[in-house]
Amino acid sequence: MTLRLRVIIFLVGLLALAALNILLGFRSNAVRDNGLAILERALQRQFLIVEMQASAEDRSQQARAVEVFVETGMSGLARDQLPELDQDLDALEQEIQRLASATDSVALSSLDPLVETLGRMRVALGELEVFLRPPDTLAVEPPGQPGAAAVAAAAEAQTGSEPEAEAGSPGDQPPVDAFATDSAAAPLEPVVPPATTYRVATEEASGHLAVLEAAGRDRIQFITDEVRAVARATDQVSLAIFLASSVLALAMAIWFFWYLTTRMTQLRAGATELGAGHLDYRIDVRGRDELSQLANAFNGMADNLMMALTKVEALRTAAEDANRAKSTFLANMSHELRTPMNAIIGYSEMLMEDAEDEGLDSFTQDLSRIRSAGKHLLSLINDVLDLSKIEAGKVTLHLTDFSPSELLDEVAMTIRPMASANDNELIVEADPALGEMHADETKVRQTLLNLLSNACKFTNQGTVAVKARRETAEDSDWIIFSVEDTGIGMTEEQCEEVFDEFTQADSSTTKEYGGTGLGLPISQKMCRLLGGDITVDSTVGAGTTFTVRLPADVEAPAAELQAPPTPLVSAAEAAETAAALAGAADVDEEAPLVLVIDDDPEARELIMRYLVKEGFRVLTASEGRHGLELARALRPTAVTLDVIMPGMDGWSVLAALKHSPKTVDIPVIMVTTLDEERSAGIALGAYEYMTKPVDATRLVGLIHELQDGVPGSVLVVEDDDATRRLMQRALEDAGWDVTEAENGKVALEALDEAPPDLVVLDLIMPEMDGFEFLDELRSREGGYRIPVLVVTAKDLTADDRARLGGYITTVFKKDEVPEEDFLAELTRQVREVSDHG
Amino acid sequence: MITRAWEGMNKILLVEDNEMNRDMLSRRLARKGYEVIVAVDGREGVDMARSETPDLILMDMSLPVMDGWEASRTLKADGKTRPIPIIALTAHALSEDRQSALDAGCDDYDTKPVDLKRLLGKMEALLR
Repeated sequence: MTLRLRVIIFLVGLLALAALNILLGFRSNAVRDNGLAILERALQRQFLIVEMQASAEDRSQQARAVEVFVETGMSGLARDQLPELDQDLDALEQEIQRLASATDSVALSSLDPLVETLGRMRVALGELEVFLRPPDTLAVEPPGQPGAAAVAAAAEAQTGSEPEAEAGSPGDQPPVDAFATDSAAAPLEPVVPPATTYRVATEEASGHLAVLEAAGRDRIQFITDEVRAVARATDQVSLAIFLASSVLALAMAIWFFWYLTTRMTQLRAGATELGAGHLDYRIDVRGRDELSQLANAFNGMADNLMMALTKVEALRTAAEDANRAKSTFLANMSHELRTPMNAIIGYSEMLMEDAEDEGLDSFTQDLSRIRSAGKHLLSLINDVLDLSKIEAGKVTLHLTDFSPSELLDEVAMTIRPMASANDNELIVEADPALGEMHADETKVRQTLLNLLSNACKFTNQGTVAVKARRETAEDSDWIIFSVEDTGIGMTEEQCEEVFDEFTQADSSTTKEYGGTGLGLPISQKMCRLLGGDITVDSTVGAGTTFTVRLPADVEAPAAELQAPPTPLVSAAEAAETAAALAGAADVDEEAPLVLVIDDDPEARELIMRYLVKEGFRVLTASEGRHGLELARALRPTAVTLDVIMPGMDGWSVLAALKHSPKTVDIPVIMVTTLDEERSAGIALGAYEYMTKPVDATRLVGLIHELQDGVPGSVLVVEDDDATRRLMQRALEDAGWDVTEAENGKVALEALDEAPPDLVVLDLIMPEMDGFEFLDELRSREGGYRIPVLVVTAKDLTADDRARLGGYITTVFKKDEVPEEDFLAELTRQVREVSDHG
Repeated sequence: MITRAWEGMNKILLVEDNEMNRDMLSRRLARKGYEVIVAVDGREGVDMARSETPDLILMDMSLPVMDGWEASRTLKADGKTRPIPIIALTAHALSEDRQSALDAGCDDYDTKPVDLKRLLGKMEALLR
């Protein structure tokens, strides 16, 4: 999960909680508003009830007054009160209606007794009117007016009160009727006077109102409690949500902090490791978030760096090899140059002697110039040779015990004539406690002679001193030689360049003092080879001091040390190899050896089986380092190398093989499951790159190709010395083993000694020409099998061709190619003939 | 002088494959009063040392067929030729050549091109 996603989820969570809080607020407000509305109505009703109670009290007093009037016989007064009572009842009815409209359905039912009582009051009032009516009005009473018959009165009330009922609630009507019907019996029994009935009814109404008032009060209390409870609950939930949000935010922040810190620490550690050059370090990648991507990018960078470094390493090795090849070439060339130089110097000396004997002085001078020029040229060549030998790593140390003070005397003796040539005084000072040293005496001598001859050369009428002492430093003994002169000296810049090859302190120095400028670089290289060094200290005009510091006990260079023999093949692998070899009918000890390096036993076995079947000798290694050791020790014809192996992987093995001059020529076939890195493999010096599963035919073909590619022996039969030498060198350079013969006869003798893989034959030769040689060759047992490349300047006639007949593989005309291409073409042709022959 | 030429003229075997060097050195030595016989390779050198019993051998080291080191070793291994002093002549090189020449049994060593005076000094020292 990416960090962005995590943050989004976290924010969405917080937003959801906030939204919940807001919704809850709205909901609780709605509930409260509703509660308040109900409360408002309940209060209105309560006010109404209280008002009605007040008027009910008045009505009761009035009713009591009327009752008193009736009892005391003041009918007139009572009658006067009647209309007012009637109005009161109407008012009461209206109030009940208002109350009903202000009452919710729950409260409505509790009005029923009040309505019933109102009905009874009306009946009682009607009866009271009848009771109080003066007798004269009785006769004209309308027929609808109830008399003594309750039924009639009830019927009258039903119809007569119709208009009044219209104004009131229709719902009020039936209880009134019912009441009227029920209480119709009351006037029939004049036990209770109507005034009293009325009064009782009014009191009853008051009682009902009191009940209503109490109920209303309870309800108000209940609603208030409800609203309060809702408010409280809302508060609690809000608080809970707030707390949840806080906890969530805090948890998220803590997690983020922890996570970022941890990953950042990891990244920093990785960057530090990689920065310190530990390119095999990989940051542990967990998850797929942005930081993991960053870690991946780091790892990828390290991969690329490592790959690039390996490539650079390979290139560096190649460059070093090229440089070594150059040095070898120079060393060889110097040798070739020296032979004619020797002749020039030698003959000029002989002529000088002759000229001196015969008194030809004018010749003597010129000849002496030839000789000294030759000597100078020769010294240049020799120095180049020395340097090349050192650079090509061809110098070996001959370590012996010798006395440095004796060496000093010997050197002084050699250099004395040179010192006196410039009128210099030579001083030799050897510390009595000098003792013996273990080093290469010749190289020390050469170095001292070189320094002393320089000192003598650059000093005139001065002093040249050579000194030696022993010193203990860095837990070992050192022998310090110093060569001091009082000569021309050098500037600081000159001192810095003095050990650089082909640089003399002043290029004009060469003219004045001679020398090659290579003496000091050579001396320095030799001292370093011995584990020491040379330093220089000089003042212009005052003189120069060279100090040679060498270990008193020079150790053989690491490269020369023989590593203790280690078992090259583990027991298990030996058994494995033996088992595989047992499968083959007979193992040819001369068969080409193939080394199979693979950590997978099955792959190893498979490849081995193919190769053994094809007649190769096979050796296996299950890990890179071991394979490398085997390759170094046995120099197999070819190596098959797995890329992905634990420990030292295939790339490292390849780089190591290509790094060492000893193994650089061993062709390596990479065998792996990945195809992408093919070009990298080839760039690193692999001969071929194969993917698993291995195509057996192709692998075997490849190794045969490699094996065939190894040049064999060639017999060059050619009468012209120069041409023969040229051909010999070209072919030898191409890796062939060359035997020379200047005519057919010699060639046949050479054939007897060791039959070559191929013959390069000139046709026109003295003693025995090419044609005769061929006849002789073909007549010999096995001779016809040797391929022959005819190299000739002759235009072949039909007759010639007939003589050559079916013997000849290829005819190569010398004049058909430009001379400079001749050798290249020859090499190519020889290769071709060998491959197909 | 005449006596020396008759009775004490030293026979020097020069083993050298390079024609010019051979010609030059043999002529210069002859002029200095030595009898010089020549061989062109190591094998021939060994054969001639056995048949001619020279007083001293000047042996080039890089020779065809059998090189100078091999030839020196062969001669020094043979009781008959062991007393014959051998001076190794090699092209200038680092100490290896000198050391290996001495290791092969050569009595002295000189570099080419030959400094005739120096070489004569060494020869006389060994012939004495």
